[in-house]
Amino acid sequence: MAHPVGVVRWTGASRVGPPLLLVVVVALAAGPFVVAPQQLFGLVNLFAYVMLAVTWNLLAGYGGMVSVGQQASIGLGAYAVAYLAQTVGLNGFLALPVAAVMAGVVAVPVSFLAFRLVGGYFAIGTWVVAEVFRLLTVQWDAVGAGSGTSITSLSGYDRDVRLALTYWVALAAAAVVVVGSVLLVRSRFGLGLAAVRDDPVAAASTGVGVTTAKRVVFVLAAAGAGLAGGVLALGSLRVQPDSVYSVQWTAFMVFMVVIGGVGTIEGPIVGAVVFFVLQQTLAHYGATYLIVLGVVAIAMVLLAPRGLWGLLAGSRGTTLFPVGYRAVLGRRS
Amino acid sequence: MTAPILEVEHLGRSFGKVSVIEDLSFDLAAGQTLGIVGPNGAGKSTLLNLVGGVLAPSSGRIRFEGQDVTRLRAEVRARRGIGRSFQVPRPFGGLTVLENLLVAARFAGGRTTPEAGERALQVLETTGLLSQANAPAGSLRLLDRKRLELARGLASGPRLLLLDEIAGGLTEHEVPALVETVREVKESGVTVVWIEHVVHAVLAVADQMMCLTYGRMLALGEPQAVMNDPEVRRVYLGSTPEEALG
Ligand SMILES: Nc1ncnc2c1ncn2[C@@H]1O[C@H](COP(=O)(O)OP(=O)(O)OP(=O)(O)O)[C@@H](O)[C@H]1O
Ligand SMILES: [Mg+2]
Repeated sequence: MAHPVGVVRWTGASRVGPPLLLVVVVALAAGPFVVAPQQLFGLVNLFAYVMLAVTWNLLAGYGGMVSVGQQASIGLGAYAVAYLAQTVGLNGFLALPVAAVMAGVVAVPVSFLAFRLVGGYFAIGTWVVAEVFRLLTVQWDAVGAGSGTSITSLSGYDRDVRLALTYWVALAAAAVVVVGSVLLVRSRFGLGLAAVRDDPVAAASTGVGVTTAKRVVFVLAAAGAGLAGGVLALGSLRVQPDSVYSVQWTAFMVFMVVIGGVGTIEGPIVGAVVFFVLQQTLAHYGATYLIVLGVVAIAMVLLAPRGLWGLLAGSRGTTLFPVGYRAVLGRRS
Repeated sequence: MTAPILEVEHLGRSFGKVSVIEDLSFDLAAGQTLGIVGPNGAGKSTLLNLVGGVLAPSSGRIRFEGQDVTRLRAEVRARRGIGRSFQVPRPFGGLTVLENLLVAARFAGGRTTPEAGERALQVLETTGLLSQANAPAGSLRLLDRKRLELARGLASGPRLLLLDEIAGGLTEHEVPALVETVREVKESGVTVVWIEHVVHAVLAVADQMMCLTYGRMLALGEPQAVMNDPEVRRVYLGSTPEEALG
């Protein structure tokens, strides 16, 4: 007969993640000293992809909310950085956290609207919100209306210094998002959120505040996407309504999360790296690269619905981070 | 005399034009176990959903520990001390069995992580799920899913526990162990409302029985008296009292 010994959170595998993450971040921080500037620019995009994948996974994989409108927050974050840097005169790098907070604040009223809708209607509703944001931006002359605007206020920096700073800021932002998502999933709140995703009725009956949990994660995901949008704007020094508010971002997020493994910490990060590598290698093939992405996604859904991380983790759902709970059982003779 | 922990007054619920619970009133004293029987579609689960807060009543009032909870959301009632199981299991499929219980112990039970862990393990042991503690709840077979319903309902440490057909599917060998579990819960001071088609199981612990048909109370009172009531026996078509009592 088994008898209970206790509940632990740090198991063999889950001791690996935090130090591994630290090593990876420290190694990446050396980037500007070893990598060519052009590649630094690519890596800034990778960091933005990681943020996008991780936050969309929080929404869909942990919150059960399949949003097709995260580009609303990406655009908002990008435009907030551009506006604060160009018109208000704030340092572009300092504008980044402000942009994230703004994207989060705007998501609060949006959530009251979106939460009236469920399932497919929720998805379409979020898309409509993003379109409305795009249309409003197009009317706004201060940020260049339909043709967008450039961020020139960072031109005081030497080009290489600016690129290095952008790189470090992007890396720091991605690290904050990843560590934040680990802490969130690990927390009491994260446990309740997973319950809401799996069964909202049972979650309510076990004391979880269903709507509050959803709203909090909706707002946090918006702030994360806003941060990513701001990083993309700082990387390219250019914002255009049709590109930052494009629904293509949602397609990318879904791709990354599905490829990597939905509802896991590691999956979206793996997915973002795979997406980035595919994009880099297939970039000069034009539209073919989108077809390849589509085929890869379909193959993945059919052959490995739990994603690449699901394949690696096996049926026991091994995780490198101490986000779960494990019962330790002893043996009685 | 103990004060009633649950007071149901003129409760009604209809779906469209169909009235599923009609003008139902009863009190339940703290520490008592109420068994509820009745044919399929009688409104038993609906009554539980109304008390648990998953459904809002069309009319009437529900008081828990003297306070009106009629308009409170399910999560608030859960935190106040109402635990429940679902007739059709609703596990948190992406979480492990242990984590399913931790949700209840932490949120409804308001326990810290170490306290919740201790409580969850203890409940897993009494409900026979300990060996499955680390299994994903979504992978459980029906019988274990039913056990999980009982275990999760208990994990919060409720003062009122609502059980909906937890014996269905058990073999005759397994029923006594379940009855023993419910008896222990009752002896720890928890008030229990137990809907059950396996009548002899619920009769083994019930202080009172209620029979519902078509959303109305056919009988309420001392268990043997209720089961011997000719009206109740007619509802359990053709069954003799011996059969009904098992
Ligand atoms: N959400 C709903 N919408 C419409 N009708 C419903 C709903 N829930 C229950 N009903 C109806 O209400 C009636 C009572 O259902 P309920 O589940 O309460 O019965 P029950 O006594 O628990 O039956 P069983 O013994 O089969 O579990 C049934 O006729 C059912 O079809
Ligand atoms: Mg029922």
